[in-house]
Amino acid sequence: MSRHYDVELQDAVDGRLDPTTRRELETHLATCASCRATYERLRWVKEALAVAGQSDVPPDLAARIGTALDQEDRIADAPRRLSPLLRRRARWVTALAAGILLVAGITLLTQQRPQRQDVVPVLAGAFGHYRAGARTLDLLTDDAERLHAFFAAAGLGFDARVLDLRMMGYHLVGGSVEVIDGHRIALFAYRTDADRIVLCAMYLGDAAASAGGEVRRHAGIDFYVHRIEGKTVVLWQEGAVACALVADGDPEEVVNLAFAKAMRAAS
Amino acid sequence: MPGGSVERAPKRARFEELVIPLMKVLFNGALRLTHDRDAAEDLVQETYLRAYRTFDGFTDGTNAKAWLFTILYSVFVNRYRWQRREPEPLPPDEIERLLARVEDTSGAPPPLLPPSGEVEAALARLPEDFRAAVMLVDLHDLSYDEAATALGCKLGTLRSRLFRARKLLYAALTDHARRLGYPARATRSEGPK
Repeated sequence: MSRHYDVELQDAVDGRLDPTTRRELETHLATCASCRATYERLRWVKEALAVAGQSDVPPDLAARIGTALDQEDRIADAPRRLSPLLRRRARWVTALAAGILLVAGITLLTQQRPQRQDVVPVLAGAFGHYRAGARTLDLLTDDAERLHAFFAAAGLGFDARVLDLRMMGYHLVGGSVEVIDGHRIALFAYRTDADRIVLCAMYLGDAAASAGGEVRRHAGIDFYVHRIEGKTVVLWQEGAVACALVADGDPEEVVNLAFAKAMRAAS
Repeated sequence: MPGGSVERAPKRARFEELVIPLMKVLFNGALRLTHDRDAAEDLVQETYLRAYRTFDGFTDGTNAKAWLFTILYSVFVNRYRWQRREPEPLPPDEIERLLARVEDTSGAPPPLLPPSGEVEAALARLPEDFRAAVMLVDLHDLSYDEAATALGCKLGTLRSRLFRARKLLYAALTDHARRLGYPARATRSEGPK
């Protein structure tokens, strides 16, 4: 008796076998009741799945998507239409609006909305997905000003300052706006020449809310250092905004980068 | 798709022509992940929005459905996974019991195929990784490579998840069918194609 087949039986059901292996399998199935039973069962499941139904699309979904794309077109077109003079003015207006939103954000924070989800594992998971290529960023740009404007247009409720860290060897890749448990989070990534990735996050919230972190005090700021699944997540507070930095590799390097980033933001 | 106030750029027209016909497929995929119609609608809308933003990076001639599912699963994992409303999933010991039963190939031949509602119910109780693999390959016809890319896993992992998922489905569906007294199906002698 030749060896039993395993995943190759599935490949056969899916029509993925090369002619030689298929012939070998056919010969084997003629004499092996066990493999033949497994093959029949896999084929039965595939046939059962073929009759699975499809739900109709809700009638207003196409319209909702159309409206969202219209909005996207307007956001994408707006900066290009502005003259340099208007652009300068727009920056002032954006700054003023951000200031107002920051006050509104602090007001919201004082209402102490309960934080139901721990942001640390979520950020660690986001880093893992981004590193594996399973996550894409909404805006790919190495221009910190452009990403800053993108976050401002997204109406986050706070001023998401994107620092230019090229002097430290970190090149901006781009950013996204994410919603986690009601928090709108500005998420952006840097990459070094050695292909090291650092993910940054900013949101209206409490950097100390996640339990279990080690507290490190540097230049009067408390940093909350969490180690999770081989990644280091460092959180700290900048006014009403919680900031986070996520990376793998040497934890001390991540902590020192967080120190440096916080100092740059405060300067 | 209704008209917006902004003049349609060629990019928008190309985008809609390519991806709007796939809305039903995407919605059904989203529904199987979230188990909630409102969440599925939100997930599909977000997927289209992200796809539009990154449309310049899409290569003409490649599989648009696989590309959209890659975005959809990424958004689901990052945004909706924590708030999904799952039917009670199979407990780990039940999974092991079912897998062990499938390994015993001396049992009765497969019963007649179950109705689609029972298939959906069994699918909904699979662990999410397994369910997503079956969904993409069996229900939405993605290749193994495309499904592995969409789920952010290696090809071997995808094959293994698919194999175990199908065994679990077989065990769960035949358990159910035999309890309801479905007759056995005549054994066929047809070999691999």
